[in-house]
Parts: sequence; structure tokens; C-alpha cells
Amino acid sequence: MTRLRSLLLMAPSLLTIGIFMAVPMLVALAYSFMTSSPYGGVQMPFSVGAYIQILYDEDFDGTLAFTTDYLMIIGRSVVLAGLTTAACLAVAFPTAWFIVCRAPRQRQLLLFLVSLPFWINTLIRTYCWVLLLRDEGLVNHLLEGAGVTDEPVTLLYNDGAILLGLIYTFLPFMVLPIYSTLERVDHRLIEAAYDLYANRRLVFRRILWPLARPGVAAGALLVFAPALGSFLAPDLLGGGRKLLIGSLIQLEFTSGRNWPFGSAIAVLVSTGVLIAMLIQARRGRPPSELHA
Amino acid sequence: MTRFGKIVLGAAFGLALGAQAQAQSKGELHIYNWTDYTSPELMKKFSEETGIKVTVDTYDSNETLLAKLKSGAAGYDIAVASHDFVQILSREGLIQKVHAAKFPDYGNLKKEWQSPAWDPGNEYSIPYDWGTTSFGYDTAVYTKPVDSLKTFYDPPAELKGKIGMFGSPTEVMSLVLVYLGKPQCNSNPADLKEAAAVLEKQKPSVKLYNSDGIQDRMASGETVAHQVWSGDFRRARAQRASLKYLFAKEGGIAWMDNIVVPAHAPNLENAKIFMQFMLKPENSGMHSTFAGYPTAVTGAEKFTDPAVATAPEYLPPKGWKYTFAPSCDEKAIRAYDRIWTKLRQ
Amino acid sequence: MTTVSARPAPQAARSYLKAPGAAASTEPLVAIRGVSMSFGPVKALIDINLDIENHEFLTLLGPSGCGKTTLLRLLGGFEHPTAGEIRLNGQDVAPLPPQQRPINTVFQNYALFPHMTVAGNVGFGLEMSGWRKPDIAGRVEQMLAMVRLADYGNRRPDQLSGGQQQRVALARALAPSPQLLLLDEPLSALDQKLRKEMQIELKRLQKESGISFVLVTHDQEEALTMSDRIAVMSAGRILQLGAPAEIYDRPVNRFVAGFIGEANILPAAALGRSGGSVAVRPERVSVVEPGAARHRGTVASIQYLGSDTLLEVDTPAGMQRARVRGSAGYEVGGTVGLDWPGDAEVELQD
Repeated sequence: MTRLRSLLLMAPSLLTIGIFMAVPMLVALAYSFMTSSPYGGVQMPFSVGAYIQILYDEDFDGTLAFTTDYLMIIGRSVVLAGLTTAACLAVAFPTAWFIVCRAPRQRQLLLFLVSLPFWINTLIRTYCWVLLLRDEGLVNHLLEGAGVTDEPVTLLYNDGAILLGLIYTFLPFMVLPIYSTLERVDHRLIEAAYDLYANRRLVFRRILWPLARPGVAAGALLVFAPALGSFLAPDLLGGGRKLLIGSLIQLEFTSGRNWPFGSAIAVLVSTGVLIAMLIQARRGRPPSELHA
Repeated sequence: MTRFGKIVLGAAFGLALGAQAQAQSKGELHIYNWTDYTSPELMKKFSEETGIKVTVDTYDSNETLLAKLKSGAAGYDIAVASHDFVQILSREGLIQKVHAAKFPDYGNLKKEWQSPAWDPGNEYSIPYDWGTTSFGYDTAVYTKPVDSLKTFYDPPAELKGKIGMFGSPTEVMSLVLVYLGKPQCNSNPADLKEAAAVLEKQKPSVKLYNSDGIQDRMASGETVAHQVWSGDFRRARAQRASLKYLFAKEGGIAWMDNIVVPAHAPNLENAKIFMQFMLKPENSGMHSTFAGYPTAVTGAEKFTDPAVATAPEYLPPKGWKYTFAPSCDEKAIRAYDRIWTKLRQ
Repeated sequence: MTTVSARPAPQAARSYLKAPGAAASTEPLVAIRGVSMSFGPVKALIDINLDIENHEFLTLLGPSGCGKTTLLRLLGGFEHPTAGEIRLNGQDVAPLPPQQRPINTVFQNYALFPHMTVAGNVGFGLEMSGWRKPDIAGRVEQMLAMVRLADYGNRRPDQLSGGQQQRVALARALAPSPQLLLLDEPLSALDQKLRKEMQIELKRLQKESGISFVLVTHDQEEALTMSDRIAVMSAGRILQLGAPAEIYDRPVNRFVAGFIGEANILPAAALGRSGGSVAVRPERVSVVEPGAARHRGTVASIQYLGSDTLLEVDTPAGMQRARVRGSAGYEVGGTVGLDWPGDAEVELQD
């Protein structure tokens, strides 16, 4: 009876997760084991060719040869997403702490400001960075106007620009969960730590950081996963000069017309993120559960 | 114009049309078109004349169009596809026959554009407009005379790091193959290696690979040379007079965009009304003025802004060799894709 | 029974301060001189002067908002005074942050670190002041034994009862051997029975450790039971400072007389004295035959309190209370006489 009731109560969330998460992932999984049809799409028979292609690509003459191309793309994406996560964390933690330390009314305003970019389309926001950073853009005009430089500095179309765009796009996803954990930290714990001779650094390391860890973990995941699959910033700010996972998958589903391969890469990345989540979930369990 | 501009514009006239069509309610027409490619004024005129409410959605490459139609995205009545994709779309059953040759105004089409190779008898499509693909550059920065594509594939120091390329592998490859004098849809390993080598060698000089926002980049001087569609370039030149479009001695790529009707279009009759509307010289001219490309309708020039009708980008020298790049088979596409992926390591 | 060894103050704190005794012999452990504290326009403390002696149990007693907690936070270093000096062993520590004072605090809700074990909590101050790991373990064990939680080192705070958490907080604050221990309403979250036990426990710990305790409370009974001295505070000032008996027997003014115990307040004139008013404790009042008594009145109410009976008597000088032994047969409306010895009369300043 109670079992049935709890199942019924859980049904909406299970359905939501099922429809919006499981189904697309299963579709991608199925596609990854099929054969591409000539103008996009998939067809029978089943094949593991897509997964083989990640390591062994066909050369122009039709022979299979070991390739590190795709591993490089995946590696570069992971590094870039990791840097994005680290940079977001470095900026978001002090930001969240700053907000927590304000009076409640100021907090509301600051939180609103943090989430303000969500109200504007990501494409437009990213394009605005192009307008700011390009040779004839605002930043270069200011630099030249101030006499810092004589001619435009190339700020766009490199990894730094991609990183900047990713950090900018995903920063709120880091600030908000960290804020929500820090907000719940009793200020007296910090006073107690100071009282017991901890300095600022140790208060952070021994008190704030461990207590904020669940928020940091959530934020890291919310930043890392979408940063890994992002293609807007790499294409617009990186000038498409270097492929990242997101652009690669997009390419395979469009001009590459190789849906199984795109799916295989998507499945690989999703699996990686899922494993990271599981590890995090195990490590991030509340202390009482570990000791009960 | 940029994607940004497009969105703002789209939203603006979407609102204007919405209000009007509600009053008349003669059904709807959903158009799926390239970015910066649908004249708001012309759509307003269409709605006023027919009472049909128009909504426009946009895409940035033929492949996106193909993927979208293929993924089963329904609800579009009109799509605009390049000549090579008309063939693919018809072969895949993604567009339906409209028998355009039976339209009363079919004769308005210029003879040379009737019954093209990709759609014999105009069963599926009518031309929307046409143009060429080449490189354009800024004569104020690069002052020497240019007659060959070599200037941009193997650029001199002045152009290094200032070249923009398309962001789509098929379009990048087709012009390279013209430059090398090789056949299109090439899957010959030797030719492919040669093409890949050209692109690899060019890469350090390339600032970015992106088909969006070219006009803006050329007008602002962000790039000094760019692989570009003739019409986009004409608009950039309107903002920066020193820009010049190259009709290279090796020839160039030509393309024609065509109006097609996706299979299962919810408003087939309205789609046919729209096609016939576009065959009228005054409407075709209006589109030509907005898109900045010449159309295939006789007499449209009279209704076209002279800046477009007489644009040097549209007047290739006599005997200039242009290639309508066909749709390629999977083998060539896969090879292009591989070159493209390697190039962007 | 375990005793707290007199370990030196932790390195981190000691380096800023002279050792006890280095100052002039007249200097108390803590000398608060002319300290004022304002939060914007609100004056929380006004010109406070107070000495805290070695080995003493001092209580800051007063109603909420009187400034007692602010004074405690100034001592702890969590706030800094707008004016005045706080000298510890002769050196002004008013501007120093908490981590630079050999003073520890037991917080009102204990503020135990939820992510650390009990042992981790107790050892935290030692670790922060640079103790070596084996020394910490020994000291933690010793402290836990002292607060009778010897086997609880591996628990988490949320697995302990309120009283146990309280004792962990005490052990944590005492572990680094501070020169002064501050306790901010430490017993307010405990039930009546536990509170009584902890009062005795606290007093014992203070005696054993020899460390000076400063307790903040609004509970007069708590103050009277534990303190060596009480400072009664109201509206940002110390009204009276003295031993519990002194405060009780010789309240300086109406507020102190009323806040600590009960008092009959009479106009001095009614007793043939000069000055403003006079306080008389109800238990000093005897109920006598009306004829011979100095004061006469009508019994207004009778409250039976078990061992005692409290009478309210309406007299010409106002309503007076008398606390008498047993339950002798008075009745409401009856006429009684009231009397008290001359030394029961305390002249009040206002």
C-alpha cells in the first residue's frame, strides 16, 4: 500500500527523468551501434564501426589506420572544460561568500544580478564577446585610446577566448549552488574557528571548504558537463580553428552525415560524465551516513 | 548582417505580421530559410495580398536543413535549398512535387534557368536567387592586383592571419578543388591529399572558419580577405568601398538557391501560392533588392535596387568558368569530413 | 578525577602577549578601561570599567539587550570597541582578532564543527596553535575524560545529546588552556535538571582548571550559584559589581534590587529616613501581632510555596511582601503587623 503510494508520488519525477534524460540517451546509444545512411540518419545493420572509428579511421584509400585525432579532440575538450570548472570555482567561491556576507536584502539583489545573464539568449551574449574582443572591438579601442597598444591585439579566435566565453557562460551555475551551501553555514562556526586560533586560510580550508563541498561538487558538475559539450563558444570565439567535442558531434550530425559516429562520441562523453557523477555522489555523502 | 541582427529583425517583423494576419486569417505559411534571407517587407506584401500569416525560421547550412527535415521536423511549408541539396532532398523523399512548370507565370523564368540539371522540368523547385562563391578582399590593405585564388590559399605576408574561411567542409572543399582544377565530389586519394595539403598550409594564415557574420567581419576590417558568397560580399562592400570580389582565372563555384516544399507540409496550397508570388517580377525584384542577389525572373531587374542589379559581384567577365557543385556521395563526404576534422586539430 | 594541567598558552596566541605576571603586580588579568561600543546610532556599551581577576568566576548578568553579550564579544575579539582599552596582562588586546588572544569561547549553541569528530573538535584549537599530533591525541583524551565523554571521541556532534554537545564545547574551549574562558549563555538550551547538573560541573571545571571564567546569563539563580562576582548590567552600563551575597544583600538601586531576588521598595520617608527609597527583602520581614508592629496592613493574598508562605500585605506605605516559614493560619482580609530588623533596610540610590 505505502509502496504503491510512494511509487505513484514518484511517478512524475521518474517520468520526467525517463522522457528527458533516459530516452534521448538510449536513442543515442542505439544510433551509435547502427550504420550511417548516405545523407544523414542511420540504417541497419548493427555495427560497432562507429566506436572503432574513434581509434581507427579509414584513410583516403580505404585502409584503417590508428588515429589520435579524436582522442586529441576529446582530451582538449576535457582539459578546457576542466580549466573552465577550475576558473569558475576560483571566481564563484569568493563571489558566493561575498553575497552570503551581505544583508538579506542586498543578497536578493546580488543573486538577481548573478542570474541576470540567463534572461538573455546565450548566442547573443556570446556574440557580444566577439564584438568586445575583435580587432575593431571595444577592448582594443580602449587599449589604443589609453595608449597601451598601438595596433589591435588579437584577443579572439584562440583557446583563451574560448575559455573566457565558457567561464562567462557557466559561472552562474557555479555561484548559485555554492551560495546555497554557504548560506546554510552557521556564522558562529567561523567565529569558533577563529577563536580556536585558526587564521583566514585555515578557516577556509578546514571549515568553509568542507562545509561547502556539496555545493562545489554540484557546481563543478553543472559547469563541467555543459562546458564539455559546448560548441557555441568554440565556434564563435575560437573561430572554429580547433575542434572540440561539441563541435565534432555537431559536425557529424550535419555536414559529416555520420550520425552513428556522432552518437558514439556523445555516448562516450555521457558515460564519462555519468561515471564522474557516480564517484562524486559516493564521496559527497553526508558524514553521518558514513559513520552510522 | 549577423545572426544577432537576424534574430532581432525576425522578432520585430514576426510581431508586425502576427497582428495583421490574425485579422484576415487565411491560414498560415511556415518558411524555413537561410539567415538574412527573407525580406520582411516582401513577407508583409505577401500577407497583405493573400491574407496568409507568415512565420520564418532560419538555418545556417544546407546540412542543418537536411538534418532538420530528416529528423522529422514537420511544420514547414516552404524551405530554401541550394541546387545540390534539391537533388538530395527529392531523392530522400523529403520534398514534394509541385509541378512548377504548370504555374501560369512559369514563363517569367529566364530560359537559361528553366529545367536545371538538378531538377529537370522544375518538378520540385523554382529558383529563388543565385550567386557565386569566391574570395573577396580589401584593396586598401592588399593593394597588389589579384587574378588567382593562390593569393588566398598561399597568402603573402600582408594577408597572413587575416583570412576568413567558410565553416562548412563541403563549401571549403569545393572551391579548393576548383583552385586545383580537380573534379568536384572527389574521392581520389591523390587529389584529396593535395587538397588537404593546401588547406593545412593555409591554416596558419586563417583567422577563423565561420560562415556566419562574414559581411560584418569584412566591413569592420576584422578580416582582410574571406571566402564569401557574392551577395554577402556586395553588402559588405556597400559599407566599405575598398572591398573587391575576385573572379579568379581558375574559375569559381556557382550556386542557385531554390524554393521547395517539404513533404508533409501542412499548408501545401499556401506554399504554391507563395511560389507563384515569387515568380512575379516585382516580387522577385523586391527579394533581389533585400537579399542582394540576382534572381532568375525576367524583368525583375526593373524592380531591383540598381546597386544590386549592377553590382560588380554579379557581373562575371565573359567566359568566366563557374561550377555548380553537385551533391556528393558518401565516400567523398566522408573524406571531406576527415580532412576537415584533421585540419582543425 | 582528572585535573587540567596548567599548560602554557598556545604558541599562536602567546607570541602576542606577555606571560602572566610579567606586568605590574597590581594589574588584574583583564582590565577593561572606559570601553564604549556603538552599532551605528545604538550605544551598546557606555564607558565600561571592569577588572577580571585570575582564577575567578565572573558573571555578566542582565536582561536581554543590556550589553552583556556585546561585552563578551569584545573580550573574545569578535567585535572591537569604539573607545577604550581592554588590557590582558597589561597589554591592550582591543584591536586584536580572536585568533591572537589566549581567550576561548563556549558559544550559545555550542558551534561544534559538524564535519569533524568529537576528538577533531576538541583538538582543533591545539592543531591550529601548532601542537604536535601525539600531544594533541593525549590532550584530547585528557579533556574528554575531564568532561566525562572518554569514549565519544569518534562520534560526530549530531550523534550526541544536547548536554553531551555542551560538554564537548567546554572541552574544546578548555583544551588550549586559555587564560580566560568566555561562556555565552551556555546552559540556556538545556532542560531544568540538566542545567542544574551543568552548573555544578562548570563550577568544578573552573575550580580544577584555575582558569578565569566569564559567564553571560540572564538567569539570576545561575549567576548566584556559580559566580565569585557578578556584574549586573542594564542599558549598556554596569550597575553593580560584587560577590553574590553583596549584590543580594546590598543592591545599589531599584533595578538591581528587583532583578536579583524579590524586594519590597518603600519610600524612605515612610521609615523616617532621609533619601529616596529603601529595599527590604521579603524573607527579612516578620509577621507579628498588629498591636506592637511598626507597620500594619491587610492581607491581600496568600501564596503557599511548600516550605514557605508568601503574604502580600496592603499597608499605608504600599503593598509589602513577607516570606514566612511554614503555613501559619493567616487569612485574606485579616489585619497583620509587619516588622524587620534595621539592618534589613537597604538605602537605594534611586
